[in-house]
Amino acid sequence: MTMFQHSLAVIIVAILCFALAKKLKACTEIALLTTAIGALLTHLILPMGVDPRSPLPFTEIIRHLVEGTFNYFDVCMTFLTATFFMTLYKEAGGISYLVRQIVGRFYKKRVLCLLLLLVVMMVPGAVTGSGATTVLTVGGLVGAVLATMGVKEDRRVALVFMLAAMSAACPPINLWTMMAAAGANMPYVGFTAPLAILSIGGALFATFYLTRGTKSDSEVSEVLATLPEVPKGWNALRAFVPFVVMLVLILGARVIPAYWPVIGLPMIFMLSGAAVLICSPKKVNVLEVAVTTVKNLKELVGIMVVVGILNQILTLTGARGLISLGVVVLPIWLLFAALWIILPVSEGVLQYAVAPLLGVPLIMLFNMKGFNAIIALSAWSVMWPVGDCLPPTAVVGRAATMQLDYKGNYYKGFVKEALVPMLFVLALCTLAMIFNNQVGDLLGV
Amino acid sequence: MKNQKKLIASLLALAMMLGLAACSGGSTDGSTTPSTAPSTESTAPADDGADESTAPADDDSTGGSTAATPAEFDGKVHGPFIMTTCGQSTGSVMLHMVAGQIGATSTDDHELSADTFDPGDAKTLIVTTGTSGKGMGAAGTDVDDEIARCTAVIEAAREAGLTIVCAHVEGMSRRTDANDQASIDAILPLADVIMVVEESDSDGLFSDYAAENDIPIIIAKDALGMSEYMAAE
Amino acid sequence: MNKLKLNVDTVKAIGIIIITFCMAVAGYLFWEHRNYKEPVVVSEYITEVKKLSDYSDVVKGTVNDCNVYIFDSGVEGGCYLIWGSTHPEEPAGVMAAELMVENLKVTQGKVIIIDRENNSASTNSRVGEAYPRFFTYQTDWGTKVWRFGDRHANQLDSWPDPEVYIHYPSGQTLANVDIRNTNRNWPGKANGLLTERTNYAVMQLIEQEGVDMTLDLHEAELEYTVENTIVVHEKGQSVAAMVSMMLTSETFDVPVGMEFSPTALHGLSHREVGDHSDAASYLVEVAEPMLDRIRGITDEQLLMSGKDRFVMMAGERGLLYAPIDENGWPIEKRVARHIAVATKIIEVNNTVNPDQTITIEGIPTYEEMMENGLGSYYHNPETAPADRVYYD
Repeated sequence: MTMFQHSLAVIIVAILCFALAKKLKACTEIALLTTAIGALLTHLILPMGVDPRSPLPFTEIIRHLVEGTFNYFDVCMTFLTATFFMTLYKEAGGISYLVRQIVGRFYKKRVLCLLLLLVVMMVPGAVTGSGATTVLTVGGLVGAVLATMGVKEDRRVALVFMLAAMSAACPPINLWTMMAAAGANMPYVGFTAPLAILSIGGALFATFYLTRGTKSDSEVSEVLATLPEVPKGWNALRAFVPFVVMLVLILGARVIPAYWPVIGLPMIFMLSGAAVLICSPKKVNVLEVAVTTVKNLKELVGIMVVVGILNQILTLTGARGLISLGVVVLPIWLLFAALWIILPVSEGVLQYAVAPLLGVPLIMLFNMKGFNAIIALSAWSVMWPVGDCLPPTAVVGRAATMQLDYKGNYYKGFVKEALVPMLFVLALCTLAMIFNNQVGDLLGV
Repeated sequence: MKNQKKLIASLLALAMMLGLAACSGGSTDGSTTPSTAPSTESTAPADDGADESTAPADDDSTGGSTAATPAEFDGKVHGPFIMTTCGQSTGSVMLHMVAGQIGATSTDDHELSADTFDPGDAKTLIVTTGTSGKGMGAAGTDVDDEIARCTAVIEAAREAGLTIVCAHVEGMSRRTDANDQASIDAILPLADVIMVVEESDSDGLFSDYAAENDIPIIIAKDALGMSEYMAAE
Repeated sequence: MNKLKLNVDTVKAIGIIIITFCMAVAGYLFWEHRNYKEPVVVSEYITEVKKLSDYSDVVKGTVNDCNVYIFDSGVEGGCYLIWGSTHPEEPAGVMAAELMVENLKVTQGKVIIIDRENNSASTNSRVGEAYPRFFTYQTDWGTKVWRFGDRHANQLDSWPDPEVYIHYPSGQTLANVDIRNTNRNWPGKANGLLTERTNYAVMQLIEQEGVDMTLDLHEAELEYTVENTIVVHEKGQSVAAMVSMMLTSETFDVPVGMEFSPTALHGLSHREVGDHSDAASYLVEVAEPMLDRIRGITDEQLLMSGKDRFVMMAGERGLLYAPIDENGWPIEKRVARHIAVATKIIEVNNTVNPDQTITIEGIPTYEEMMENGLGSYYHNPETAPADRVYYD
């Protein structure tokens, strides 16, 4: 048996294990863990090709499994702290206050209101690089406002998901670009314009497409009457201070990096949470919020942990390399034609790990072929987050349904509604990728 | 053969030392100021080694061969030289070193442009091809800009009566990607003479082109071996 | 129902036991990786072993306060600083540096060697890459063991990362994790994070010792454009060109190329060391198939033999910048190439800059290493005099 056949067998067994686990109604986390263990056992049992191989002791197998769980440690910390911050804000009544203010002031100015919601959604993802963080921080608020504007539930979740995905792609922080650029020794320079055009273009299309046909024809007072009451004492200053704290802590590091301490996103969200406690006119039970946060996020965090294990095992067994090789040996015309499917699907399987896995070899390939690597990577980095509603992980999609308390059918409801904006973004990015040199000349990168 | 190589290398190093002593404010002067446009000039006098290298090329002694020798081409390119690189690869630095070894006057300017081009008493312009790959994206080299710069320089050099040489002396590692090929494709048709190392021509790209277009070609075993085909005057 | 409840509880209990067991086993292995010390039997001709903190106390007490091996002939000449393990996932660097430390004799000028420039990065593995924790080499006296590591400093030593890394002093934006990559934050920052402070201290060393030239030892994936090459600052172009031509002509089967250090890519040693000191800065790369994302089964064999069928398949389709066949890129060849480049730089620089002359003995030639392997050049710490054994 050659190494090629070995790694191919690992991939086939992994897929079968996942399918079987799902058929047995196992949850996604368990199904993914089963997949990883199935892949590992296949690797241990089958011959590994003609070249000599190192022994893999039992203790090292365990080490690989545990090490893999740390793959997305930082991402999970960001999820937890961002959600903790926003849950505190919500419990204190801040969300209710802001929703009332937005509806009261902008309900009748529909386009302006939608653009405002778009900005509110884009900022958290743009500065953290995480679509799930967008959903977990402002997704609930925006969903509530969209509900008052008469946007149906399926479309609401679809829009929150699409804006979250585009916010993650939006500069200044795009983690896929950053990881792939680091792997290819490219500076993280020149990506702002192409990422902004593609992601904001996608966000605008999604916003107006998914809110089409709805009208703000109720009286503002009637709409306000349907919204929850705001605890006494809230005002604009109290409402904005926590966000100002968050933005100052994030932007300070960009503006005066030589003098600004590196405290990391988790600490930034915790300090923003502290600002909520200081500003809140209502006493909030911090411990209860912390417990609720962890309970709500245990599935998302669980998936990230297990996907980390799967990534480690696929790498160990050569399966990851085979997937990567399989993509880069495709004819270039086929890559142009297929990346719009390959990238979102791979994101659904491995999350951010796809950036170094596929992004780095693809950059090197495109560079070799004389294409504009900045434009191509920007296009891929906007396509990847679109896959965040796809199985098996579906992290941002799940977060959106959780935050908006969505009761509909995941695929037949929300994903179906999101399909057209998703295809629009993928088509836009594919065009940018095909005409990479022309777009690069146009943007001067 | 190996001893002969070492002798050539030692002579090269010695001549280079003399050449660098006459550096005209280029980037090899040990200055702490970073230079974005490295330009070095060496005007070392011909020494014994240089006299020796002006002897007719001998295939046996170099391991290389001259594939084409039209009547007006005597098998060598003649200094003084002006050199530049189309794609910011390092071939021109190497040939500049070799020129120093044979006692030729040579100027190597990686940012040479038609505006700043001053032929002086130069007889040959050597443009090396193959592109630098270090630092992709925003830190990378724009091959189109490089081609535009070099074709303008070649035009100016031709008007001034210089012989135009398209060189490729860094082997297949500079024949890997589309940018490498673009620089070759742009410069090759403008060449009066082609200079390549054996590895660069391992697929016959340059020798086939030379044969088809009746252009003299110099093929040396490696970059050091080019000294056999370069004359100080 | 009770039975079902009991079963669920039992499953949970078993799950907790398994998880605890796994955590305990993995925890011990992580601890072992982080705390393993590499014995180095220094050459009998060494003159001094300093700590990096002797040059700047910004690294004092940190894991990156590495050993600085000094070979000072006492005869006036040049000063050459070589370091390995900027990226501990590139083992040829530390192996080459250590081989030189164990065998070098300097008869004119001064040579300074750092085996582990980013020690912290060698104390953990690269998560997601399924790397082995250690790599070994069979010597005449037994098995020699090194820590295999990450490209970035251990997060236990430097955490968290910023949202985006802004290089000091250029202001260029780079990936956030690269703040823990010592070859992205030259010339360093005295009050920065661990890796920035490490490079700041090395820059102090360069200034205080009057270093004339530096060499940073690396390896690269075959898919990457900068492969088997010397990347050089403007100050060293003539020397690098000669080294490249001479080694390609006389010594190596696969040519060693040369690249100019790009002026628009900041934080790398070949750019910033040259810009911010009097030294000419060089960096050398050699092929390591283990670093390719398209590699197959990941294990120590791949690391040391450099044999990978998937990478070969990419090569057959013209997707690589270095050749590879079923013989791979064995570690002997990679280390021997590094050492050949390091010594040839001295040889050529002696001719170009006679006032910086360095003469050395005791270092095997490329041919000797390829013929004998590396084992006979590493010495047994068990039998060596105690005053010659140091730990990285």
